[in-house]
Amino acid sequence: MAKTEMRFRVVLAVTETTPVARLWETVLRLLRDTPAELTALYVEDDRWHRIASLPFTREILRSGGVAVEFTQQRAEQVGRERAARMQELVQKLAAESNLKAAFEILRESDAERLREFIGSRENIIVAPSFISTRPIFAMFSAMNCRIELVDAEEEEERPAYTLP
Amino acid sequence: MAADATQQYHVQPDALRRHCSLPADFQQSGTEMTAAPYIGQQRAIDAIRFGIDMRQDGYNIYVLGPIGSNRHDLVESLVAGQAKARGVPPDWCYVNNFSNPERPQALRFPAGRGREFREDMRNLIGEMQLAIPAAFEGDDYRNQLRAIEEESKSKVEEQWKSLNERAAEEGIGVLQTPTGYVLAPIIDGKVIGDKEFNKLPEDKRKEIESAIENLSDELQERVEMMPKLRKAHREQVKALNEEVTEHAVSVQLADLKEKYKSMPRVAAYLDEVQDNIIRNAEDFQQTETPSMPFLSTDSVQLYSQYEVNLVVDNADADKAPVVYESNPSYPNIIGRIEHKAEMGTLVTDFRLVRSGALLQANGGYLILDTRRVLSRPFVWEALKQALFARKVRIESPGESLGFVSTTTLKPEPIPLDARIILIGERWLYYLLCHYDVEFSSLFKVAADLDDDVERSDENVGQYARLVVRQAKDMELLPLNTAAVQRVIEERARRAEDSERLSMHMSSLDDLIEQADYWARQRGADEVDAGDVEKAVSERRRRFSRMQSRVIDAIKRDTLLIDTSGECIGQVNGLSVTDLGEYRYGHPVRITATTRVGTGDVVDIEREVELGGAIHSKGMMILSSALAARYAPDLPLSLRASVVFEQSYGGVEGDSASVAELSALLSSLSRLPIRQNIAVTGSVNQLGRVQAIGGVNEKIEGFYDVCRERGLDGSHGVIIPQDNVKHLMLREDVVDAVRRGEFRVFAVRHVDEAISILTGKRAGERGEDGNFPEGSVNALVENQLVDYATARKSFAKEAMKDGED
Repeated sequence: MAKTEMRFRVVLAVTETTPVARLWETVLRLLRDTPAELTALYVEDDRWHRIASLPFTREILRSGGVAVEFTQQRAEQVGRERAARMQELVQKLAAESNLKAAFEILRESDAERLREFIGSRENIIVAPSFISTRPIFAMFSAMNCRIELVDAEEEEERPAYTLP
Repeated sequence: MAADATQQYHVQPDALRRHCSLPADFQQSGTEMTAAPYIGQQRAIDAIRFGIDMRQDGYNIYVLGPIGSNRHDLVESLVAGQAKARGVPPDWCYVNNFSNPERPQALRFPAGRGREFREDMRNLIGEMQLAIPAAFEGDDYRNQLRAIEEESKSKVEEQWKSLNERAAEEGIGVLQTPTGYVLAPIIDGKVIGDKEFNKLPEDKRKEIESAIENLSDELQERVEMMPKLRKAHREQVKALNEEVTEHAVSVQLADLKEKYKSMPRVAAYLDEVQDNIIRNAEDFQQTETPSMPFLSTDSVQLYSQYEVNLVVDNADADKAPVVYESNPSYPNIIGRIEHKAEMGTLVTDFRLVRSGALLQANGGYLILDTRRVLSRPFVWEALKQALFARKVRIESPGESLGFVSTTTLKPEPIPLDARIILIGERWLYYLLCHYDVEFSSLFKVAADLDDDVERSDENVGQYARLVVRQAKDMELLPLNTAAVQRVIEERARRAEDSERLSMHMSSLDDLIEQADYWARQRGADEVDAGDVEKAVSERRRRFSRMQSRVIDAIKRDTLLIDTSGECIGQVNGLSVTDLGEYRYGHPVRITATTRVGTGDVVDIEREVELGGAIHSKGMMILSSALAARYAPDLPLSLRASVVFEQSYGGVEGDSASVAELSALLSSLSRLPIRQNIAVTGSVNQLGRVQAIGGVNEKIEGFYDVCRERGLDGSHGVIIPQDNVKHLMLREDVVDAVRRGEFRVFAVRHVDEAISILTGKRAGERGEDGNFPEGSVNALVENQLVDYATARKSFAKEAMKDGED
């Protein structure tokens, strides 16, 4: 029997600095009110690539303080690791709430793929408030998506050093 | 020869069985309780005492004696007395070797103190399990730990705060990657890339590059500093933990150290325990539940390393140990290292070291059965190694042979001071002496138990009291005097000597038990001579199936044995069949044929490889006797053959050589041999008849056959004179002789035997060099001369034919 696709979809739009736990309550509320699927949309920032494009940037390794070249390849790797970390976090929250969540990664500058993703579904976008300054927000708006902004600031970098 | 001419060789009925006569009141003498249990074994007893008294190395003892001779009781009773004088040896414990856990260390304690130490350490562990976690859970510890953590944290934050502030001032962001940090220029809160950067004025670009370079150096310094800060923090926490732990255990350990200060190795071990506990203080902070119920938790293992494995515990002993190990396998003698399975892996530690009999007997005596020691793999070599090294090194056989390459325990060897007493048969002792060059230097004392003792009045008296005491010890019916006498006679029979008594004690016990059975069967309250006789005869009957079949075969003429009439070249020899626990005699037909030849006496048994070496030797002696005695000036020109008729098994021994010679002489002299007389005895080259074994069974064997066919007074057996002292015939045989129905002849020379067998005088060579006319010897010699003449003429004709 073919699987019936739900009409509504809750899209949790996150970046690598999104405090996703703060958005989760809103996701749960929406899913409670409306039968819908859940998809986390990881909006990939290209800042690591921008850093890598600078000729003088180096990565100083935590183990031993050695400085190594920060290449585009390394920037790609860091981006993937950040996305993986976010995916892990979302899956954990979903599991705790007995939900299933799909995870999609999207480059912010890739408008065509975004349009394809949004498609003809009824999407309810849940996003942090700081995203309203980003191009992706404008694209969501342009595609008439319903957007639920949650008041949240970008998560600061974790302390660089913790005690054992 | 007149019929009464054999009278001189008759053995009188009284000599056929030496009866025992005890004073009627010997049981009332009150001495039965003091009966010497090991009559006539003084030499062996002195040897054992010497061995156990000697303090020097190598004076281990080998007790030689047959099974059933009460060797174990003798050894244990002698050793038990000495064990009290020797005192209680020390206890031995294995404890953890903290610097090298694969080599557990051995600690020695005065007897009883090992167990005490084990309990002390158990108590210490119990106290530690409470005191240490409690100390770590206390507010005092928590406050101190929090203070250290806050101090360390503030140092870290201080470092990073100043760096972040400086970077922010310069317009640089410090970004974290999963593995480190990246410094990037930030303009309007956004990280810029090369396009934005290149649009900046050159001085701005240089400023940014310079700032990033400087900050990079600083960041590197900070990063390098982090491990140092972390280490400093850990050391502070560790020092605190050690201080707390030391405080928690120092009181208990101080008490133990004081208690064991007179034992330097124990005191040193306690120091090591304290150091180890303090060094591993962090491990004691909390107890956890095992992730799987069958697994040991770390905390269990943590405390168990301070346990004590008491491998030798003499706390309850009041004398030196006397250990008899009935199963002297390698682990049972040397000891073993046990393992337990955890998650499919075998693991071990010092607590699983187990001592063997050597350590259990350390300071005392270890009694072992030689045969068992030699038949268990690796035990003999390991035992010798321990005795040479004077140390017991507990390791697996595979390890001792170098076959094990995995890591395992090597417990510290324990000094060995035990006297080893091996008990075994004589042949094993002689084999070891011959084939093991080290044996004599390790077992310098041989205690050779006599199989039998002289049947002197004193020994008989002691033996009688021993019989009474054995019955009492075994809770059997008492034996009356006649029964004891009958037992003693049976013991002489067992010794195959009317002048000696067997010291095979288990067969004595069997006899008394079986007599007791028959006495109880008839409802008696004491054992009498009839019960003993019944026990003997019933035992014989139980074993007599084969013997009955032989007699039956003779009766039915399947086995051809004549017991009447006469026959040339045919004589009744006597053979003994040994069935292990029982043996019986029976007649065997021996025949001889002679003709002209070249001096060969063919032993058919040897030709077909059914004759043993001793039998062959007897035949050669017989040939030599023949050649030396008759026609010495002429070449022996006969060809003779001798055979045991209807014998299909092996023939061994020389006890038939008189019979074989008699058959030959009959064949040569053409004088028939009486078939109602059987003969046994060996002969030397000079014709002297020599003693043989199994004389009683042989006489009884022929008697039984003759009795079946009907005794008429003509039947008898010729035996060597030297065997008369061995006669302990059955009462029915003696009675038959007494009634004149059967006879036993004792002879010293083959001439006497042949004269009885042929009824003709043998004849002695006269001054003229000839045997008397018509005598057996003259007829034999004449025949041999005829053979020589015939051979000579044949030789001449042959030469003549050759010339033609």
